[in-house]
Amino acid sequence: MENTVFTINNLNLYYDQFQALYGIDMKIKRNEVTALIGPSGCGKSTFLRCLNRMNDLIEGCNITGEVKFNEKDVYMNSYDVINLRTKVGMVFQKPNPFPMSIYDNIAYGPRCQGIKDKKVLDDIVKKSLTKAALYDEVQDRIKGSAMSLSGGQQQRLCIARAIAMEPEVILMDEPTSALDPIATLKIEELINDLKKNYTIIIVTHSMQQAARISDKTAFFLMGVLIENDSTNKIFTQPKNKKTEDYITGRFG
Amino acid sequence: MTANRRHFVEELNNLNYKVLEMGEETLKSYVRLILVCKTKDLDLAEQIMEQDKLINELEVSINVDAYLLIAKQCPVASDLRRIITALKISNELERIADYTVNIAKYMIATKNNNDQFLENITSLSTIFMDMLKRIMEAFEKEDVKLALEVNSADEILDKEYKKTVKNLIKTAKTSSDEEIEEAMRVLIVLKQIERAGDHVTNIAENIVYLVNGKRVELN
Repeated sequence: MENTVFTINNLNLYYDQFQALYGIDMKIKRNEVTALIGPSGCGKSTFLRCLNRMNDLIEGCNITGEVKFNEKDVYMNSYDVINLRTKVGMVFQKPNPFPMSIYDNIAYGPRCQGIKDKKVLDDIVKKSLTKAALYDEVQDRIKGSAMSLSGGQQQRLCIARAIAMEPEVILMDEPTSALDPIATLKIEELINDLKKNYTIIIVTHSMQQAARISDKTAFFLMGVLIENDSTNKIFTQPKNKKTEDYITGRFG
Repeated sequence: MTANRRHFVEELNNLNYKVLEMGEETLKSYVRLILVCKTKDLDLAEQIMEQDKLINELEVSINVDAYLLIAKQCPVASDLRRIITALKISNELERIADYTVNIAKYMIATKNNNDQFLENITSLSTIFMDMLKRIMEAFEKEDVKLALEVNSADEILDKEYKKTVKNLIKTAKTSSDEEIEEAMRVLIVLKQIERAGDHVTNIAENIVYLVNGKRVELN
């Protein structure tokens, strides 16, 4: 399997007249955690949403350049967006479980794909919850409401729901910003475990979180990708002064 | 239930293993030194220098790991002490190993195979090796009591060194200028092992800091 999952070439994004991303070039490797950091409004979430075409839903959004997923440009007219979003799952800032049981939350996607066999669904639910490090905590109330779970558990449920679709990539947009420190650490541990099987791209406002969990870090500023390197390098010897100023808290 | 910071704890444990490994390798250098004394085989002295390269690499590796852990993990409390201790102990071990290189270089350069000299190196190294072995055990077990015991053993090494110095001075009194000059060099060489003992004391201080968070002056 090709080692590079995403290849982004000269990506520009406009919200009507406003340009939010400027000529982004980037490669994202398989089974790595890539953290996108930068001050508010720098374009990191916008960039993340380009990867599974979530920006399509925003009126006035125009994109030029290439976003190749497994070597195919996802912005080609003929590209199957539903399939893209199956392979490139997403977890959002605020946990957003469906108002149904824990079981049904996980089984929802596979059912939409036409899986009806109860045994198969049971298996998917169990495996997904286990991979999301949630099964042990909820196994005795799996038919109970997902809304009764704590915030941290709800977020892990959302990760399990993404996993149930057997994605290759999981996009995470500030997945711990609504969680307390302990729930945050649990998600971080989970991300570390998940990278064995998935490629993870995470937007975070916490530089320490990026440092703790990622293999690569990309620093964005005013829609420009300033620096993209191994996290070890970025947090010990960044090449660009702007990156150094940001991670050391001199500005931002 | 996911244990918190499992990966970080693993990385801390790996750092500890590297320090212990460095201790083992440093001990091997002293074993080689004794072997050189027993066999008078200078090829073995060359091996000490090769061994030192490995020890230096381990120190660099510990430094890199420790810096990355500090930069990326924001360690606090005992986690921070553990990383600082690993840095400091690895630095002490590197110096301890360097002394064997200095002695090996002297042996190769002068081809000094005087029995008394070799015996002195052996007896001081034997005392020192026991100290090093036990201080690394104290580090592994985080045993302050053992660390302090080992620290006391430094007096034995100091006494043995002083006894050797006295004997050398006695010999020098009735010797030629050349022999006196040689005795001075031997003195400097033997002093290296005495200094290695002082580094063990520093390691003991670091073990106390690691376990209790207290800075003590043992030397």
